[in-house]
Amino acid sequence: MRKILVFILTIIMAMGVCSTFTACNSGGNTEETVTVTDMVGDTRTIKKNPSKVACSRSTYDLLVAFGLADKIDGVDKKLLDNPWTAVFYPESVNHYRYEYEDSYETYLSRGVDLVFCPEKRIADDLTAHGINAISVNLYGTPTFDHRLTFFSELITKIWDGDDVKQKSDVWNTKIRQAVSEIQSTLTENNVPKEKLFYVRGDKDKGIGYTDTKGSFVEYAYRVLGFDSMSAILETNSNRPSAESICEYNPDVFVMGGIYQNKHVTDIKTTAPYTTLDSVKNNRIYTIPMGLTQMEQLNALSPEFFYDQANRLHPTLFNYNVSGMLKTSVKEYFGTDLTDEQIGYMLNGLSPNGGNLY
Amino acid sequence: MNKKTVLFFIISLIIGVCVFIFALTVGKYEISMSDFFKAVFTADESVATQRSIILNLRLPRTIIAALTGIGLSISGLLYQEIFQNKLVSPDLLGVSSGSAVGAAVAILLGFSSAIISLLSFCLGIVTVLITLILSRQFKNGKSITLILAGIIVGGFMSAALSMIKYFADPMTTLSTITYWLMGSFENSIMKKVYILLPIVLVCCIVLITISWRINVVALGQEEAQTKGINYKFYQLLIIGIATLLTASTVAFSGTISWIGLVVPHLVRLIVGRDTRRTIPLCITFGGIFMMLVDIFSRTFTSQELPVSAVTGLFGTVIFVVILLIRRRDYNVH
Repeated sequence: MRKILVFILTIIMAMGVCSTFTACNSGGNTEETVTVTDMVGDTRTIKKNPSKVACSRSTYDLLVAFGLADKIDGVDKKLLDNPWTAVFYPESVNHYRYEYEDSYETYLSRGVDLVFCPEKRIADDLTAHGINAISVNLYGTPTFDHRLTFFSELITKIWDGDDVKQKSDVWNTKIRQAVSEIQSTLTENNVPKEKLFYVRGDKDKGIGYTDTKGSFVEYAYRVLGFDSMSAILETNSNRPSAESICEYNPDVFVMGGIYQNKHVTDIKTTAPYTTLDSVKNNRIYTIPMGLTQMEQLNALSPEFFYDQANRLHPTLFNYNVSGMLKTSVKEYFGTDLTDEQIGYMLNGLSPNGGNLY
Repeated sequence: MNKKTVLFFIISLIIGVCVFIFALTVGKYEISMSDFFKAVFTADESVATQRSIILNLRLPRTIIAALTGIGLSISGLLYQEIFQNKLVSPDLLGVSSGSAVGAAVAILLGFSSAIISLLSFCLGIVTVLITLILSRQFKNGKSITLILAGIIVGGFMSAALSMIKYFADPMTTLSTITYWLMGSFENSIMKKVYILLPIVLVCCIVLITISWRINVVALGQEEAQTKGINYKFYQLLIIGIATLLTASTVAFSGTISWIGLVVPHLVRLIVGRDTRRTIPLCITFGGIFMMLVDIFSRTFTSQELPVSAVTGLFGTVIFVVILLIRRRDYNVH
């Protein structure tokens, strides 16, 4: 009996000692945190200056551009599948290939400090499982107007280094300047507003696939002097019927994404689009491809504005977009692109001149 | 056909023609009646867009909608008669589940819409063949074993579909599969009409020709054999036709629920159970119902509503009305 009592007491004392050590350790391991409001309006407290981050597609290139590539553990594998990613940033091959919505265990086993999620649902789910996660959804409610530099500023709240702040400020100034320059020129020249339909070509869903109200695209083309059909669609609607598009009768079609060249051919050969004046008059334009498709907010968004201004208003603008792209890619990613590669980018092609699909 | 059936057939046929013409005139693109006639009956270039919309968008989709309505209604009626169960739908033997798996595999592998339709059709047929082979293993020849085999194979196909959806890319193929499963006439073109029209036409002619035999087969094996009918042959023929109709319509329009259940009940409410009367009315009623559903799904919003959602909304309401009308019959029994 006495032996049993001694054994139990020993166990209790051992547990007490362990608890004390654990308490001391946790008390001493206080990490610095920061409370931020993410892009869907949720307030989240996360670790400041995280050193291992899992990225969504839309967050990767700005982090690299702001000198935070060494903090990136991995990114949505779709981005790494884009051949331009390895051209822009060769070290990207070392980054882990995450799924669009990966499991908690994957994030825990890789020991990430922060996950940038493309949807609120995913961020909520990860947060509920004790993983730091915030939503970076590149859509505004109701419009994108005040979201242009939101993610760039969010980065400086999470990483408080001077270098990051300085790079963010430069980029913010650059994109605001692009917007302001184009708007002033259009206003000065009293350019009448025309109707535009953007064909979203990241997936092969036909001519009727576009982006929703509140998207960066809708905002961008408003800046560029157009009324985009996305602005009049019902909330979350992005697949207007062919009849709806004909009823809207756009003056201009703009094709983006990896399927852009296929869609240009399709629209010229598919009824009833062939009967529209915009198609008959060949007012069909394309958007350059880069590390991400350039009609989504990314490091090269200022160049996107300049490029589209050149294409859509050739009599008013003549920016040296090729030169701008070369300089920016060198500055952000440390890569010298050749003239040939820039040409392929501008034509929505792969780094070797083929199709991206 | 008795007088009442002839009368209802003629009235529904006239309504069907009116709905068909109405379907060509309405949509998100507003076309005035004068422009409509100018576009259809003249070569005037000023209405080229209107003409293109009528001929390339509305005409094929309205025909496909009508054929799908006819196919699924008749197929539902046949299954209900053969299995002597009024709550049976065209998916009883797993044809829709099989078609859905075929389409999902094709979408996952990135095939064109033609291959999606082909694979969907083939797998729909193969699924029913598997069901028939499985039911043979029970060796009792009863209809209930065929139904059980259908539930088993249908369940397996549903599980396979879930696995395919799980592995599909959430940003690309998953949404395409989901949209396909909700049914749509959006991608209808005249080439599809040229394939579907003969199938539905031939099936309807064969069924009208053998309609009295369907009545006998519906009475059960013993009754059929006493009347000198080759029960096994006709049962297989009727199942084959119903499967062909379902698989071919699902292949072009995706899975569409409720119509195969509601239209046969509606028709029976009017002319009774005799298939010599119900088949012709299923043709007109099914066509009208689906053309109206298509008009509704494409007219009120810039983005088309999924057909299955609209048939579900209308179908459930109509079904409740039918049950309320027939509640006295159910109370008596």
